Amino acid sequence: MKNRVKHFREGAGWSQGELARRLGVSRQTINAVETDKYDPSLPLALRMAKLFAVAVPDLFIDDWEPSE
Amino acid sequence: MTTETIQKPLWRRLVLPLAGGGIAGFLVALGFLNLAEMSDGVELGTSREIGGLVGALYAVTGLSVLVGVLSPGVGAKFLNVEDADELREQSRMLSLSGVAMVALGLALMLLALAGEGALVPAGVALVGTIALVALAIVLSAISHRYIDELQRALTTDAVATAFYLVVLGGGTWAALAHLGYATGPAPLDWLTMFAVSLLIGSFWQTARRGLMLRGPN
Repeated sequence: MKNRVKHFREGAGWSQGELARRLGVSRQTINAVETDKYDPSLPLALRMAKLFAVAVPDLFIDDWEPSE
Repeated sequence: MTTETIQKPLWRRLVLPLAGGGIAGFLVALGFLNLAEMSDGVELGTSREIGGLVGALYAVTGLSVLVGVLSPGVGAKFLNVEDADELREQSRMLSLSGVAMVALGLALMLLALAGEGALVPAGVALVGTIALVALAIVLSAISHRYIDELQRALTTDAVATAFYLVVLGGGTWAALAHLGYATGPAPLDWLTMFAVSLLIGSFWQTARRGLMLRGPN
């Protein structure tokens, strides 16, 4: 799933290590999320959104649309 | 501030881990086979030799991780990490996992060298294996406190893959043996299959998520 975590992280002026520390995960996890190699769990996605003060759909982009 | 790393060409990133792993693996395999020859002239047989070599592979892998923890600058050159800081940040979890892996490897080597006419008496191997496996279980349980959700997901997927591989490989072998088309797997072969399938499962899941060769080494 595409995401804008890197965009918001850089906007906040944080390194991957700093974001990892604030979220209580490893830097490996932040790197994997930013490079679309890992979709975070719902709790982690919510924590990220709360940290950047945005809604989850602003952070994670899903092209799926409900069918008519 | 962002974390950007300059990536070397693939072949340069592979040279050091492959050469280091190859040399270390060769030396340990040589050591194990020499140890096996000390067994009162009794042939160990293919099953025990493969089991012992897989155990040695576990021990070398665990030792490599421990070297990386003790010397992150060196470890970052041959371990699958972003940089030396990642080894420092995860040193507690990696130390526990490294020792657990060495313990499991030694247990498999001990079993391979034990039995009738072999180097290690069965009773000694039993006590040693129980102690080593118990140590590995305790350390793995403690290390789970220090892993995050990505590592937990990787572990779960690796174990699931290992299970499917054992069912496929061991199950096929057992079925063929039951029907008389092959000699059945020895008890040690099952333990070796568990160990090998877990290694393959770990590498497979790490590669599937595109997390192999992450570092600048």
